[in-house]
Amino acid sequence: MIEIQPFTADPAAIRVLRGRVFFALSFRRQSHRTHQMKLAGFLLLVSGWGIVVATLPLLPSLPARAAFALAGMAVELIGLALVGRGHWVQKG
Amino acid sequence: MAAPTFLSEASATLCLVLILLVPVACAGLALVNTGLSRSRSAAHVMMASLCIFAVAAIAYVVVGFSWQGAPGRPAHFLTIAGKGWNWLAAEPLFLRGLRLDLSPASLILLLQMFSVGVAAMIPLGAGAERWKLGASCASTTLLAGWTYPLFAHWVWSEGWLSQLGSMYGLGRGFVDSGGAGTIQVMGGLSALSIAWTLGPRRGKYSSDGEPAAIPAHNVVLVLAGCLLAWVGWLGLNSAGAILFNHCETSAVVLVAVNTTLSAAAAGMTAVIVTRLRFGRPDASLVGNGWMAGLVASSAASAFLKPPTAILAGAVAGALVVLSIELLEFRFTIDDPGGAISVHAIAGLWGLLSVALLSDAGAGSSGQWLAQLIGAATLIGFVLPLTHGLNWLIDRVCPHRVDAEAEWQGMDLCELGAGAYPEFVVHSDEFTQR
Repeated sequence: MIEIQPFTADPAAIRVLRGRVFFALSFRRQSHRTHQMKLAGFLLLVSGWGIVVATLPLLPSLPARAAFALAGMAVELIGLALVGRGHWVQKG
Repeated sequence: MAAPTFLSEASATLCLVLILLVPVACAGLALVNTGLSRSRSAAHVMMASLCIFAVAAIAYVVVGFSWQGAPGRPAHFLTIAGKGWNWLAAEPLFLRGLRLDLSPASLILLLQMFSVGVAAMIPLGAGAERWKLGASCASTTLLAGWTYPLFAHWVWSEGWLSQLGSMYGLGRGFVDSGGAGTIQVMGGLSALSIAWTLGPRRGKYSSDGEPAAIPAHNVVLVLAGCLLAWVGWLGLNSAGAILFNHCETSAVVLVAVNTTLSAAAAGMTAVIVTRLRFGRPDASLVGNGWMAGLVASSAASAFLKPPTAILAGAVAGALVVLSIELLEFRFTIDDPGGAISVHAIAGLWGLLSVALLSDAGAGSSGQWLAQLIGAATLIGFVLPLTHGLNWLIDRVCPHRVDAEAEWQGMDLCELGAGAYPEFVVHSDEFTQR
């Protein structure tokens, strides 16, 4: 004869399951954030290069070109730092 | 800047002999990468070096040279603010129409075929022990067939970077005779992209980000590779000076002296820095320092005076030791061969040293800006392009092997046989995983 037992939830199992779901969601959120950070970083890299190259046809004098080229380089370095940070956070 | 349209037969023959030394640099680089990896992947790294060079050479000949071209040959122009920006060559595929004799164009082709192999082998230093052979060949195909020829055209085939002097009054334009930017920084940035894509080796970092030391399995190979690389670099820098900077053949002596002094100063600086930091010199870091000196000499060896070559090398040697530490400890980038520090960081320093230390920068206020624009192009254009292409490859053919294969070692996983079958070499075989 088959005896059917009523289902009783194990509180400890529920806590573990809740923890895993929370971890999966927070990992997915963090993963999404790191992807966004890396994408933003690469966009800054390209934008910085665009600024540097744009100084050539747009600005006539050497000091002006130099100032904007350095600014463009700084934007690139910020982008590089963002991309690096995105990869670093992923490991953490 | 244009290559000479005519070389005397003696000069052309000398140039050919110098170019034929460049494969020795490839051999040296392969030995360095192999020695710095673990024994379980040694055969794989060496074989990957061979395959990568083969793929790079073929891809370059089939399609790369058609994008890079040579000075004085057909090209595509973009007109921006009334000036024509030479941005891409218009050569036919498969070297059609190019006579392979002692002409400058054919010598440039030969040099570039070897140089692209050097550039393509650099990322292997960062991706060793976990980079699949197939994915590395795919990445190399794109590097040699597109990215490298595009930037090399801008620098060496009368492209817009080399014309910054004539178009916008920035000194001599972007100067890079031996390929510090075009070969070394490009290879180093590709190595960075691969390190980001692959992630660190298993067991390299603990859960709180502390790195574990994974020492080189054979430092003798590393240091022997450095000596071979030195011979190859003498050829690379000298041929580049003749073909790309219009130097007289007598300038080869100055180039050779500067290349050697730069490597020597970088190596000795690495000895001193590691001795001060760790109590004893570190052989693998000294090898990396030596290589950094060679890399830094590539841009300006034709223009430096010997004392400034020593200074350039010393700075490169110190930079690379500190950079390796920073990347590994602070930024958690696992780079077994030190490729990013040796090639990208030292190469960028080499490009800037043209303006800061050499005769090329001395008489011109715009030279440093031209070098900065070249460096900015490498970081802001070449790196995103390379990383984007590697990301696309990863979607189709994942770069990284699985965990079990990585633990076994790339030799057994991909080649079916180890490099040292007579020895039990895995110290972690008997520890619980």
